[in-house]
Amino acid sequence: MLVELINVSKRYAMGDVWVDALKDITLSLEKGEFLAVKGPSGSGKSTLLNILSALDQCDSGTVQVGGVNIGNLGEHKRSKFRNRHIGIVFQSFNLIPVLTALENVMYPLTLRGVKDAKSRALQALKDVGLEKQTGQRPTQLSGGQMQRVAIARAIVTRPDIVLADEPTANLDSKTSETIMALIQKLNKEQGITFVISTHDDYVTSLASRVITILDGELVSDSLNDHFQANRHERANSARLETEV
Amino acid sequence: MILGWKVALLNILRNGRRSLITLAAVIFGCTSLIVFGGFVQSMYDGMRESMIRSQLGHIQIYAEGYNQYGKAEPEKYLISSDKLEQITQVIEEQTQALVVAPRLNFNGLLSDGKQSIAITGIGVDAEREVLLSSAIHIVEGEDLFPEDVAAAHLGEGLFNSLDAQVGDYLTLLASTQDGAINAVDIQIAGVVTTGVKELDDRLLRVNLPLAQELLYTSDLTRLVVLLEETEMTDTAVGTLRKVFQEQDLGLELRSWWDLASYYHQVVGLFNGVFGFITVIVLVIVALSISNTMLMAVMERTREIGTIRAMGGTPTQVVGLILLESVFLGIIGSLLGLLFGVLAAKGITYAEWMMPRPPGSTQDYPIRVFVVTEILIKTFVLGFLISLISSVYPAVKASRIPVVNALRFT
Ligand SMILES: Nc1ncnc2c1ncn2[C@@H]1O[C@H](COP(=O)(O)OP(=O)(O)OP(=O)(O)O)[C@@H](O)[C@H]1O
Ligand SMILES: [Mg+2]
Repeated sequence: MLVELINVSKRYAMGDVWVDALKDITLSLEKGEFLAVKGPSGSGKSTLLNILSALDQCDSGTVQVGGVNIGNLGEHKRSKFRNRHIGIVFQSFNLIPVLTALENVMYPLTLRGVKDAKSRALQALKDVGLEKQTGQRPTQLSGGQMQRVAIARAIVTRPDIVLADEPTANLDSKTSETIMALIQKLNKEQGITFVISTHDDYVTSLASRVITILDGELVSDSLNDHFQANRHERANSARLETEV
Repeated sequence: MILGWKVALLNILRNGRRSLITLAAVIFGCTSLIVFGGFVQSMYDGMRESMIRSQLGHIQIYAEGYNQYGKAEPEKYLISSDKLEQITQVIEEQTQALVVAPRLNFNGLLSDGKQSIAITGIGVDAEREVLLSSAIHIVEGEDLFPEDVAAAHLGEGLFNSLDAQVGDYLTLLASTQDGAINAVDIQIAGVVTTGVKELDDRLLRVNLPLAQELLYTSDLTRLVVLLEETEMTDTAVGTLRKVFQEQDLGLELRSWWDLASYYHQVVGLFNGVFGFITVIVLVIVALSISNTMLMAVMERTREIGTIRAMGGTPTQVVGLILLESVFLGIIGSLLGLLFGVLAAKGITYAEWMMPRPPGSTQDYPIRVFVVTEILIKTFVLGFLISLISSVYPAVKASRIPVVNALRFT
């Protein structure tokens, strides 16, 4: 088992009241899965991903990733853990503006002093189809290209799992499709485990498994074995929904 | 981590406003320290040289025991005139002294017929003393000449408190070596200032023979040696001590350093003031850097969150931010040195007049020395202060919870 969440809860204080962002979530994930996390705004998707990616800690329950109980790690060890085992893709790309695409991808490797950072980063950029843009700064790239760089940066460390919180929310639908196709390809060809939160049913349709969260509770968990067939129909209806 | 360096350098450029303010603060600090430090040094130097060249000389030579017992029984610790030539020759040979001038010191009363004023008298070899006491300025009248047997120079303060004109005769009273009271007439040849008010209020200079006649002696209190440069003093002192002992001349000596207690007091005081000002300047610089750095770092919260999310540890984040201040510190301090040296040269070149320092009777143009030691200290301080001032912002930034940092817009 790659990921194991047992009775995970997380609350936030909003002034005097407590908001349950996650309630008693129990969930496990195998290596190579492509999990989509669905749910309305404020349901707790980001909170879940933050806990999975060791960015945040839960209040109760246990979180194991790759056999490590990350709930017990201190700030320093959690940083190291993220660097070795977790890849993160952000909604708004979060590239370092002063660095080129290549340098951005090298960054997580240089944080731990990897020797062949450059060749590995070049390979990662090639994997996301950006071998020609390696020397460009983020400002010279389109949104889709920036997200590709971000994906390359997330996979360059060969993490156990890549977490992407609404990675296509800042992209137009056409670009979203290509980004999702890329993620799907990386999942299939390289066996990289992905967890993606989204509002977009098209994104959901590409995943191998979908969970739904409502008010911090896990309300459904299903394998998506016929997603290929219904792909376009789902995509269209989803887009109509979100546009309304 | 090469990328860290690149990020730091590029962030300095990207964060132009922050960088400029930080640089300006460091430059301001360095320039103030260099200019003020150089000014204080020039003051020390001016004071030292004027003391040396008006009263002290570089080295003074006495009969053995004078400094310990001479206060009580000065007549017992005098240098005999017979030995004057021999001693002078030894000194000149050993130290390449410019001047070796004999002096006979005495206390007495000067009277204009209506009042008597206590004076500090010196009998001098007028010809040698002209070279030695180049910092004594004649305000009125003329030099002392050996031919004018009764001629005397009065300190400005002393002259002003008497009812007399240049050319007038006054009566000088003193007790002789054997305790009798003796009197001679002197004629005011000139009015002088040494630059030190306390001294000017009591100073009387006469020709050596007159002083010897007054005190009924043929001996001397001391020999005053003037070297070419003040820096040569220590070597000369060493040489003379050795020679005096070897030749058993029965002499002892003091350097200007031993004699200039007033100089040491002033230096001590001003070093204190300088230290205090240094601290104030550093605090101002530190606060402005710290504040600007904090703002700049906070603007980059999201970027810092991203680095942390990729696995940068809090320590690494602190390192990255400090690296920027290291660069800013080095650049700022180098520019600060440049500005400081230019300012020092400029001020000296402009020859602005200084307000008269306390206890002094002359105006000086402001001079600011460029002192290597101060430059080095300033560079180190400038560099350290920009580094230290960034520690708080850096640590603060590294402590923001990653999730909050990433949410920051
Ligand atoms: N740092 C925080 N402080 C206070 N409350 C928070 C914090 N983070 C999340 N919450 C609350 O926790 C709940 C879950 O938030 P979360 O961001 O996980 O939802 P989400 O499903 O990602 O929503 P969206 O689709 O809008 O991104 C919400 O009620 C939110 O207001
Ligand atoms: Mg969210």
